[in-house]
Amino acid sequence: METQNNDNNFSSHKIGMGEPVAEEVDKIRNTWEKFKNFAKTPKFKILAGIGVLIIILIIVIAVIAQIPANPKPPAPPLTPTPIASPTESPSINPQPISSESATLAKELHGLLFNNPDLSFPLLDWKISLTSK
Amino acid sequence: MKKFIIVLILTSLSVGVASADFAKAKDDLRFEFENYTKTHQEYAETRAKYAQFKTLPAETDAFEALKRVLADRSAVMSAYFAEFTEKLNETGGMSDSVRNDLISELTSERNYLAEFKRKALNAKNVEGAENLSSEFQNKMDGWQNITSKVKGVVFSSSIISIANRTSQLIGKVENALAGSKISDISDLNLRDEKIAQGKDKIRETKDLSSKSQSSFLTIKFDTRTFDTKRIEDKSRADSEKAKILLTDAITAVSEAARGF
Repeated sequence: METQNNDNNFSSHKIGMGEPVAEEVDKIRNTWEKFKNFAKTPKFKILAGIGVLIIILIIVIAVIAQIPANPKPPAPPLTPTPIASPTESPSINPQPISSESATLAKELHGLLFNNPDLSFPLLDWKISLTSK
Repeated sequence: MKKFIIVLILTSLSVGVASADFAKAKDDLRFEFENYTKTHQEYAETRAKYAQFKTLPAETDAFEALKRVLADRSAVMSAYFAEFTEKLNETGGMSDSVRNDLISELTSERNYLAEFKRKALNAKNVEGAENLSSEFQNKMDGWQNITSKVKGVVFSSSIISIANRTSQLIGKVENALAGSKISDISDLNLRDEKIAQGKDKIRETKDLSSKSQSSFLTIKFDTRTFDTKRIEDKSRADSEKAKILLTDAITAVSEAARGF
């Protein structure tokens, strides 16, 4: 008898635990249904469109902020160009002449008649088994 | 302008390729020389054993080592001539016919050496190998003459090449002066004087280098005589003088281009 009561108590306890879970599931299902219905309304579509536009606007502003403002042209020198420093057209001379002449001087200086790279190989010219 | 840029790029590329070929030829020569050094060591060791024991196995070993060292020695000379060929290819200041004639001379010697190597490796007996060795030895004078000639032509031609570039630089200095705002007449006169000096020195440099180049070209593939040595010494002295003249020319141009 006591055992039977215990069994009844246990089964009633199990039933008591199942009821709130089902209610929760129903609640969620109802909310989802409500949301789905709301998503079909024009009001939702308008709100979503505004949201997308705001995101696009934020992206555009971020991109514009990365582009530096146009640099101002440098101010003309306050002191006049010295007479001894002639101006040249860059198309005539893209590299400073002084640097070119220094290169030529260096190249000429390094030019040797007895270039070590071209020295005659030191070979044994008298290879023989019989001669002493 | 586009054409100019294309020409500039192509020129730089061709110079780069030429330098790379010379560097490769240098590496090949080093490799062949190391090879020769090893086989020469083996030859010396087997030869010493043969001289000491006089046995048939010692003779066979010495003979095999002899063939290998003869072959590797010819490979060194061939690599040396290949290096000279690449040097000629990368050097300016000489006509195509001069360059081609010299390269042809070197190629002919390399062909001889390739054949020599084949014969050395196929020698049937010690006597045959030794005859080949004597033949090789008899070529030494001619090879010294040929390399001395190419070295001289390369040296004088390099001077001519730098002189040509200095002439172009003078043109640039003149253009720059024409477009400059220099109002100091004495400064302008001084610069003009330096340009004139530079031009004179370049003219002298080119005359002397061309003379020296022609003189080097008269050296023949022959035994080394007193006359050969005299030609070499005179031509070399002329080239060295031309180098000094060109150094003065570049200094004068640098002074004329002061501040540019």
